[in-house]
Amino acid sequence: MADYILKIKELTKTYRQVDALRNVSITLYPGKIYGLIGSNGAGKSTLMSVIAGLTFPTSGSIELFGKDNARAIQAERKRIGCMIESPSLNMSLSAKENIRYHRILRGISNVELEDELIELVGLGDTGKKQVKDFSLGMKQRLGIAVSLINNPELLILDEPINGLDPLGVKEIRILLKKLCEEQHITVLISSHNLPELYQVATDYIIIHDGEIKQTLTLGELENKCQRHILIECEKPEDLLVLFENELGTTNYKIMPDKTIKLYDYVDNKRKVATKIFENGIITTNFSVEGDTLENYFISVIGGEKND
Amino acid sequence: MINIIQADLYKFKKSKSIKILFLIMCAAAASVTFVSYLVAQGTIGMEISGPISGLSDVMTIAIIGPFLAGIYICSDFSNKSINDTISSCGMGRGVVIISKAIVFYFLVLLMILPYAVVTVIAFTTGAEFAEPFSPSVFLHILANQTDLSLTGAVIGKMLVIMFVMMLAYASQMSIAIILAFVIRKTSFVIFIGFGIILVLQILGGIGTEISAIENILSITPFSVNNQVLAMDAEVSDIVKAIGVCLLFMVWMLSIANGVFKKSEIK
Repeated sequence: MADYILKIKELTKTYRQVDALRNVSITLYPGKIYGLIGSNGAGKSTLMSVIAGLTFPTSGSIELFGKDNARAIQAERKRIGCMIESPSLNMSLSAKENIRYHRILRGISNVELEDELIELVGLGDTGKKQVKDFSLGMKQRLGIAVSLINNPELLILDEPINGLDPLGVKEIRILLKKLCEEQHITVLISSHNLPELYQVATDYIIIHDGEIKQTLTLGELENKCQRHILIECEKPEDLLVLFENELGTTNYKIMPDKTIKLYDYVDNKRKVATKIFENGIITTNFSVEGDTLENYFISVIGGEKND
Repeated sequence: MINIIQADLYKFKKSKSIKILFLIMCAAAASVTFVSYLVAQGTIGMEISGPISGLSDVMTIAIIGPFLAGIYICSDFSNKSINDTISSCGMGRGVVIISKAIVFYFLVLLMILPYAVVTVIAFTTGAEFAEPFSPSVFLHILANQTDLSLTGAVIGKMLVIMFVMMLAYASQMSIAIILAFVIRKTSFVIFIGFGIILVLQILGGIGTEISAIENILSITPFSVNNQVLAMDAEVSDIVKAIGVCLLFMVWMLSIANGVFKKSEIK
């Protein structure tokens, strides 16, 4: 039996001759939290909708929980929890009534689950208050509770921390990590809050213009976001000659703004500074930095890299 | 399927709008019957029946049916309940359509029920009623033009005929189901649905001299009206009416399924 829960191969989705997804291939393994990173219109929600069965692919294949024909995949979707774009909530019902509605919809008889989930997402004190009177953050929490009703093995969350206050964000982060560690749930989560995603995800999928640009683990990302010396000077090309001829390194990256990131000599920056000075290169910035996920994402989708 | 039906019935149990609609239908049924009684007594003239005809079952169901489709099916698209059913409950789109249709038909029957109940109660009083407006089966029964006496057999036949008429109304409202699954916007479903259903009801009620239209309507529930379902209707007419209604439902739901199973859900 396959050790993965979802495998997407060469998937393309076209809307009126425009590719929303192009030859997307990803594999998700159990117990991991996958951060789906992409700018607006990159194809994140479309990819999630295809997995959820709300949108049909134009070409390519999906294998979900070991099933690869459409009817069997649809049946397996009861093992998925979803919150795509906005939560599935009835505005005129209370939080508990919404949970009850979705519990009945899934044919789950455990009534105690309602209170457990409400407490889990911190909405235990909302009583009979209708969801239409909830804040955006409260609706998001309730949406997450709804997506957890069927004890899913794959949880798909599209921008789940939108509208949450810092405390709510932290609670959701802890909850997702707990679900992943204790129940071995796989989570596919998208967010524009990259620092937050950096704290929660174990793996990253970078998507841009409908194409998967990169998939990498947290370890690989940390390696890519390693500390470096950021140098800005008037003639960066002179600096590159210096790096290669006098410092013997090609481990640098030229950024779109012509600054240069040098990944070697971080703990011996004096040597670099001395060489620069000896070669008469005038620098306007010389500092030790660590790349953020945000910067790395930008470099992947639009920056240049010298590998 | 049973899960969707149970969940939706739970939702409607909590819904104020359904309760208000039901009360409006009760009031409309009572008003129409009372006016029918006053006209028969000569207390008011036939001319007042014009404005009140808007409360007759033919008219109210043409409004309420699409309205129900809008607030039930279209709302389930906007609040993502249908999305959730497909993405997290493992149910296919065909199952969603059939389940939603069953609950929708139940709601239509519930809304038309006050007319049937009021008709039975009024009939048992033995009072005289007129048939002042609209091709309404309920008023036609109430007017008791064949001067039937109150026996068990008469009440039994009356209940059967009223049930078939309610089935015909539910079947007619299948058009609103297609609109709801295709258009998915409450206001458009209400306006377009009301327009289509009203026109078809009028054509079915008055009949037409164009044989092609008449032939088409004869295989739809719009042909089931007070000219077909009267107290002197033959068993074969009743069975034919039931068959037409059920087949039309299947036909409309097949179309809805054909469209919905290929469509994207946002």
